[in-house]
Amino acid sequence: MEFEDLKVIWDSQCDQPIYGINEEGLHNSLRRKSKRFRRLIFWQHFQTYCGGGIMFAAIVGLLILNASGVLGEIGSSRALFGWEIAASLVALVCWLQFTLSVFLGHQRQKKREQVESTSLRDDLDKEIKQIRYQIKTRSHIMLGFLPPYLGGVLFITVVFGATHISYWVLVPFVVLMIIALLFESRCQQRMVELKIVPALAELETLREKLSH
Amino acid sequence: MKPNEQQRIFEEWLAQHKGLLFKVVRAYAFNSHDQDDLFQEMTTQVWNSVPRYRGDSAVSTWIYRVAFYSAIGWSKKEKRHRDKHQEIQREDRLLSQRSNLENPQLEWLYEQISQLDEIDRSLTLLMLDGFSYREIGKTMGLSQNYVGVKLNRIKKRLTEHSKKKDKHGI
Repeated sequence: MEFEDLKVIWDSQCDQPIYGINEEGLHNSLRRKSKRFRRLIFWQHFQTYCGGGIMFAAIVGLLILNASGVLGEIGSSRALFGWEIAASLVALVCWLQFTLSVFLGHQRQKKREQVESTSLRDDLDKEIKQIRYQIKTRSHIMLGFLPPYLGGVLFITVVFGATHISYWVLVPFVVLMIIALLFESRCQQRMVELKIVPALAELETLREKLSH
Repeated sequence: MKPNEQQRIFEEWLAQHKGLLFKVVRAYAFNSHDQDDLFQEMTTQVWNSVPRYRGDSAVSTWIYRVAFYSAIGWSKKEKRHRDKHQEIQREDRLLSQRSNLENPQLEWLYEQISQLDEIDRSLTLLMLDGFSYREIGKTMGLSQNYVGVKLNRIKKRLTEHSKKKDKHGI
């Protein structure tokens, strides 16, 4: 058989489709998937911005109460010392930095997704770039999470001081936070080693095949 | 883009180019469960790609590229997770094969295509569908010369195998 004969065999399937589609099933599956995706994105944004918003409101509220003199009159609390005001401001900056970096990260991701690729090779390059970015962010997860953890500890220290709660109560709290940070970092590292790096290697092999 | 508009375009594309998706399904997945799974994956990617389409290439080229990309990604994922596969319920099946359309020669051709690697499979499908080397190169991100060399090798391999088949009456 020559290639032209193979082409005739190939074209014969165009006369009638070889499959029937369950259209209702297909639309249900598409609806389900896009709903799940939208919900996931919503919760990711909600958690980050809500956490940032609550901390922002709490710290600014505390500073306003202190500046207006109300803080010293609530129960057994006292007005903030100078270093406590400075610590509160540092905590505020830490949380703003974290929330803003997450927001900017989402925006960058959105932009990347909107870029039109013109070939399969472009698609692969885009995916490889995206995976490398994920590896990079996950490798520095400790640094990424350090500002909100530091901000949280500073804020609680200030609140404990102003309300005369012993600083010793802070110790288990700080230990717990350090363990949580280490645990989170280890989980992300394992994810990179077991899932993301193998996926990247496969994509790079494909990319290589397209290059040679 | 409004969801209604996206839905309209998607349905139009699916009605006009479903044959193309079927070909990719058959070349990359080899049992009804996998074919269903891959078809679902491809249609999801085609649906997601609707707002990104700017009309710079023909719709068929665009859908082919999205389909290949989904199929290659799906093949890799499938290899990794084959053991963890979840059975799709019968009533959820998206594709039903029309058994009266069985063609042994076409079956043989698909079998030959399935023995190629993922990239060569994509190139072969485009070649058999009559795309020029230039169009294939543009779709895959390859040079025209490279496409020519690759496809000549594939053509040679296919014709040699078909001659062996004829000789042995398989």
